[in-house]
Amino acid sequence: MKRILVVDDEENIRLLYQEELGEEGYEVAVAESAEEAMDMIEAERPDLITLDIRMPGIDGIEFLRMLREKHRDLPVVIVTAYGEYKQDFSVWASDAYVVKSADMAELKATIRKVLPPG
Amino acid sequence: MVTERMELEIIGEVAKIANSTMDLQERLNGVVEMLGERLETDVCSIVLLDEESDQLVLQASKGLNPEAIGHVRLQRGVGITGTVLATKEPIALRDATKDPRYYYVPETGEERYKSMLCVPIIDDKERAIGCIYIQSVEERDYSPGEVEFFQTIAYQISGVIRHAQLYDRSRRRLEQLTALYEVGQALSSTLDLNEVLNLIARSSAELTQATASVLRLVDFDRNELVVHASFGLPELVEEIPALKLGEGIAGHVVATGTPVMVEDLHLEPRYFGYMGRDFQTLLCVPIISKGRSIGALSVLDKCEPGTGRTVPFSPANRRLLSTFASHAAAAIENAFVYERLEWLAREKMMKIRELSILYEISSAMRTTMNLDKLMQIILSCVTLGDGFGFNRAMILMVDEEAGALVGARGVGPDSAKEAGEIWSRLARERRSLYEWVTAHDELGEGQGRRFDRFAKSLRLSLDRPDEVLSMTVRERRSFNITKAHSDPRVDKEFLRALGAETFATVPLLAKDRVMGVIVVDNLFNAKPITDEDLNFVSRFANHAGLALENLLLFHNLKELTGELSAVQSRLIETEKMAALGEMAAGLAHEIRNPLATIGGFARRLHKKLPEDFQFKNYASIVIREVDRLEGLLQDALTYSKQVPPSLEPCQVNVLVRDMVDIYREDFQDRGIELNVNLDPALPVVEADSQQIKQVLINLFSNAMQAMYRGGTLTVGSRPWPTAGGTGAAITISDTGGGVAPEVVSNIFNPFFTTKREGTGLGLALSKRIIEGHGGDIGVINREGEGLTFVLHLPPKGP
Repeated sequence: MKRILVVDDEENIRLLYQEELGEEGYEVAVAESAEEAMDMIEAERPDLITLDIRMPGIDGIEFLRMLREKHRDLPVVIVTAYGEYKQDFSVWASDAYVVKSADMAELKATIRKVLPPG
Repeated sequence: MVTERMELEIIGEVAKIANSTMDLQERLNGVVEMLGERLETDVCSIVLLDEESDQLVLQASKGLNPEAIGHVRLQRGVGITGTVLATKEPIALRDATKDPRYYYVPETGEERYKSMLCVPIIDDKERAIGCIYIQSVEERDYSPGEVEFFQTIAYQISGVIRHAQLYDRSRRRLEQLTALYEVGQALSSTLDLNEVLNLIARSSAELTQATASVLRLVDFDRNELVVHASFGLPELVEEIPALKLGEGIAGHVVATGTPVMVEDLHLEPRYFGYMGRDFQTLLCVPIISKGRSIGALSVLDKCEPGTGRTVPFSPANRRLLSTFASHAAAAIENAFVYERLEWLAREKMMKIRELSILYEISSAMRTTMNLDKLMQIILSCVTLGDGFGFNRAMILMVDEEAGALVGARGVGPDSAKEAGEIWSRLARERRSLYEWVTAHDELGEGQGRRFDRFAKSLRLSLDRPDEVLSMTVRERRSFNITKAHSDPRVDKEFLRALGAETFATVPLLAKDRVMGVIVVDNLFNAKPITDEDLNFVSRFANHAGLALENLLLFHNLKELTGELSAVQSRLIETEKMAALGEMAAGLAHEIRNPLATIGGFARRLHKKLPEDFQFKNYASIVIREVDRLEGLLQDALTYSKQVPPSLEPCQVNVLVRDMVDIYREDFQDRGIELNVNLDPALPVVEADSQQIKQVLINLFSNAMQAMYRGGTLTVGSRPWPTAGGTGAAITISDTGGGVAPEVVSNIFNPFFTTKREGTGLGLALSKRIIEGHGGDIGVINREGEGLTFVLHLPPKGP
């Protein structure tokens, strides 16, 4: 079973994603900040990370940079309410970019696409 | 036979006559009459020597033909009387006719007298001044006693004559002095040069009994002798040409400083003559002041008193006229000095007046910052100006880029009648120049429009080297055209339109460049334009040029400031918009999270609830509403983002076909028939494919919604010719029934929607996208049938 780490500062989003992705058949862990996420990654490496950008403290971009120093090929899907980051170069460090929506079909399809097989 | 007693009586009678107050002629007449009677002779005559002509003239006679008196003249030495005069010895003849010296003068009478006693009249200087003689018809001898007695009488007569001559001379001298005095008084009573000169001319003729006189003065600048006054030949004064110094009699007189007397002008080679008038005798004296000749005074044709004959002038005349001329010189000099003083004073007055006019004008010019008003003021000053008023004036400004003079403003009456009205109004209402020019528009808004229009219509090339307006600009000086029709510097077209024979041009200078030209004319009163006028306008034009330049600078500055201001405003607006946009965007993004949560859980609920659950549709409603909100959010964000199109060559037909393909299934499901007519000759245009696709999506989905009961969608494309090339036109027509007329005008407005599920932003966004490409979008409402959208895309971007 693939392990997904959901990083988002909103509790309801974490809950929703845990439920939805859990039903998809993934093992889902949640972190409410970039710092917590780093610790959890060290403890147990996930197969994929969904990452929110706008977070208090270290934001998603900075987290991504830090992550990439250590885990270059850990798949990251940025899930954010903000559309304009699509133009930011730093997001190229991610594997995909999805705009948060009530309809999670796109997110689910993207996760499936990005996860390495096997 | 004369007794001693009689002799004494006769001598007594002569003495009585001598001491009477009669004039000489009367006395002589009295003497000869008395003698003739007393001595019982047939003839008693007195002849006197006229020194100037050296002739013996019959002065008085009893017995001879009275007509001969004054006229009979014998040269000295001729006849018995001539001999007596020459020898100063008496001659007594028994029969004079037999004497070889006898000389018969027929005018004296028919009778030839035989016996004659002639004795000389000797003056106190022992000179023979004439003779007295007695004649009888019959022959007789004269005794020595008789001769002696007659000599005594002659001696007495000499006294009479001398006395009378002295008296005459004194009287004449007194007359002359009186005349001189009177003239002197008259001369000093006036300092008006012309009056003085005319008085001199008249007086000189009167003093010398001349028929005419001419006064010439030296023009030292030109070295010419110019006629300044005359008497007796009025109409010719203008015609008499100026003499070069040394030319003519007058010229000679002035050059040498000595007078000239001419007895017969016909024989005088230096005489120039006065056209048409034939003069014979002349006297010319120099007018000398402070040692140099300043002119010449000529008198012509002395008229002998009593007879009216033209006689030559006498030395006495010459002396008198010379004396008079020196008086005249003083008077002339004084008058000249006075005139110069007056002129200087006038100049000064004019300068002062000019300065005050200029001051008033400057003040007036400062009252406005309106270019048109300033030009109007400038031109009004030149046309209304007190005494310098021209009839019409206009300003032409230099357009350096175009190399032309362009008419800017004209001020002047449209007709002579209007001119007259304005002038009488000027005369009636007493206002200062300042008041007039600043209130000028009171003179009638409608007046002078024609001239203003004419001025504004003018456009003249500056390229012409020999045309007066170009020359004015190039040479930076004014020109005074007095005969426009024949002056080669005047452009014929311009002249025809202007219509004035005399006009002047003055450059409008400002510091170092020529801004324009002022053209003035006197079309209505035909008053010639003097150099004085032009000088004033030139000085004034400098002020005007500066004022105009200042005003233009001010306007430029104002414009620049205005532009800066506008740019600043725009910047502020943009910033505000940007800030607002940012805020809006931030807000929109923040809303997304809750929406994702709400909708997300609503979906889970819907998934979890059993199908037959009574309130399952509640969840559906929430899901749908959240979807709608998300859609609205997305549209709003997209709409506000204003992304400029990234232009690439685009095959519009391909885009349309792709879109049709994507929607084909949906159309089929809804029973919508598709008609596609794409022109294969559609040119490639520069466009952002993604954005165009967005527009097509919007239009297709609108059409689909409108035709929810089925219909026909017609899509077409054709070339769209424009000035910049050929673009593409796309039409999308549905059969959705159209919309109400009042809806059509709002259809592209943001947030305007008639649909239950619409954001109202779709068409607004489409419009923005198309307009961002430099094209346009429009709608045709086929009422009851459907809508047709027409898109135009230009070949190259905006």
